[in-house]
Amino acid sequence: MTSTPSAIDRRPGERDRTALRDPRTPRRGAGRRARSSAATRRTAFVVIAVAASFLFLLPIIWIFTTAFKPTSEIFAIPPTLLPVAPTTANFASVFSDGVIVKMFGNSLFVGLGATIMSLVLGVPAAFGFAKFRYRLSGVLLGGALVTRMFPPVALALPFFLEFRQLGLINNTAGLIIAYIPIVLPLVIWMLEGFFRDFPDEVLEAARLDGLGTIASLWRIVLPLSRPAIGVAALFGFLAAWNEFVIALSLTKTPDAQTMPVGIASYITQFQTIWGQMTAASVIYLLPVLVVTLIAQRGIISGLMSGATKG
Amino acid sequence: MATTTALAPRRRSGSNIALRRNRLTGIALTAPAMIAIAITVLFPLLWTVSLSFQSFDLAVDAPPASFVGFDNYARVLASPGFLKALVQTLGYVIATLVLELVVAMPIALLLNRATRGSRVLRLIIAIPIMIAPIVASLAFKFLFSNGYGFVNAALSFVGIDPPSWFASVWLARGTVLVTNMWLALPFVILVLLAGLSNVPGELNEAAKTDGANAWQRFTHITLPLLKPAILIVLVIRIADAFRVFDSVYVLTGGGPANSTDVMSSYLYRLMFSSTDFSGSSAATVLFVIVVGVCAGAIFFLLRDRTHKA
Repeated sequence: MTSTPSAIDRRPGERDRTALRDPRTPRRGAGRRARSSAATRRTAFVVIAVAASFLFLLPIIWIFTTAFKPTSEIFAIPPTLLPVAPTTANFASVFSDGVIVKMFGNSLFVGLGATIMSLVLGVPAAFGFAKFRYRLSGVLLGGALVTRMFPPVALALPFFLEFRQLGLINNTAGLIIAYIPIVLPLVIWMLEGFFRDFPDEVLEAARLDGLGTIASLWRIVLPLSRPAIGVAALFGFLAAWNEFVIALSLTKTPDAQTMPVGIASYITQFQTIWGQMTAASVIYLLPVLVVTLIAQRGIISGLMSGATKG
Repeated sequence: MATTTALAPRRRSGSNIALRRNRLTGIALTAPAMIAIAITVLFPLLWTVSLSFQSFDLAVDAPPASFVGFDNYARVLASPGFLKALVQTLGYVIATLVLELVVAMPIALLLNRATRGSRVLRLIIAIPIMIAPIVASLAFKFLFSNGYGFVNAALSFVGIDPPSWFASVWLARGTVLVTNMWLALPFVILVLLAGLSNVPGELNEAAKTDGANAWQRFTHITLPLLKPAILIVLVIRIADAFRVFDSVYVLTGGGPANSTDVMSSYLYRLMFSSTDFSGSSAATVLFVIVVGVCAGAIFFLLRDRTHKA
């Protein structure tokens, strides 16, 4: 979205830099030394980058390797990174009672439900705020975005008391409602900035062709905005998928508990069951990591443009 | 509006009709989302405010709720746990924001200069954004654990006597800080990188030929141009930092001796361990007011700066 103009901005600058540097190097007469020092610098950069990346990713790498370790190796002193005798016993015991499958399903249902509801409500709202201003729209948009700053724990109490009366405690549909304040403002925030840049000429042309607002939103704007909506949907889904404190407050049994609550329950008062916990974490993280790798470019550019338009 | 139509020439009144239709379209498009937010945020919040002035109990044979004025507020404000959690939350918010910017800035500057492999590095850096805080916290709980943790193994390897991270007040706070920095740094770095891509290279080259050193170029050229990006980081990260819960819950449970308790963990305990619902509704309202005041302060700071710029 913003990548095109910035790339154009950057190109002349880079050309200038090489233009400055080129005539200088031969004058110094140190061409070979400069080249070899550049090579060592590049190697040093690669070594440092690889080492830093490894350290940075260590928490995730540890989760993935520990999931395949027998208990004796998990508590080895000094600790080892790779399993000596890899085993799938942790996964077998996690899957043995079927609870993890139920919780994974709950997480998926709640995440998709909250995302779809937020898109249905949020896409027209973002479009309206961006293109059809009215007197209170600025204030309302500001209000919607302020809810993003709202600490979720502050909603735990009223939701808990309300849901008790409505019979929505320990209910996945209840969780979807409770996640609207988290996902919907995020979707509006990410898409309003995008729709603001949507060319008015296209909308005007659609109007002259006799399309109503809803029809032009559905048939013109949505198809052209698919990548932006995809990124907003992904981040909305992640917000619900990763949410913990509200799920912890409003669910009691694996019938409605989500993956984060299930994984946290491997910490008991007396010990942490690392093997099963890491195996459950791998099942929980894998889909997210796969999507990240597939949609990497969209995610990073979406993050950067969404963030800078705030 | 009637006066404007009367005073305006004919052509204007036509555009006024279009304007009004635009306005109605805007209202129709945004109303469903606004109603949903009103039901799920505004109503619960107002209800919490009304609860905070009542004394009530969820037990079956409990007496009916009664109006008690500011009693709940007085009780919460007098309890040492609330003030401790509030002060620690504010301390955490300030520490995490300062540290994140200080650590993310050099990384962003380096990544901005690196042409080779920068796409791979950006992807690697972006990964923690996708990771659930609860899982990251569990990983760090292991890494910092006593006998079999990597951190202490590394410390013993270089000859440092390994400490017990979760038993000491400041070290326990450090583990919460490190875990959340790992989770948040990617966002901060990516926003700073987006800001850096708007800093024209020519400006730095010109300053270089004028004899400005690297530090001068950073403080006089890069930093002023990064101001919008830094303020975005501040706004978003302040909101995130105030809601910190998962890492405290997993890593320390608020201990040792409540020294890592923050508002979210304090409120959660007050609600679901002490089941003091009238007290926690007052504490919730106070917490929301604190967050609102801080968010408002940042908002006005941001608006002032952008007006000047």
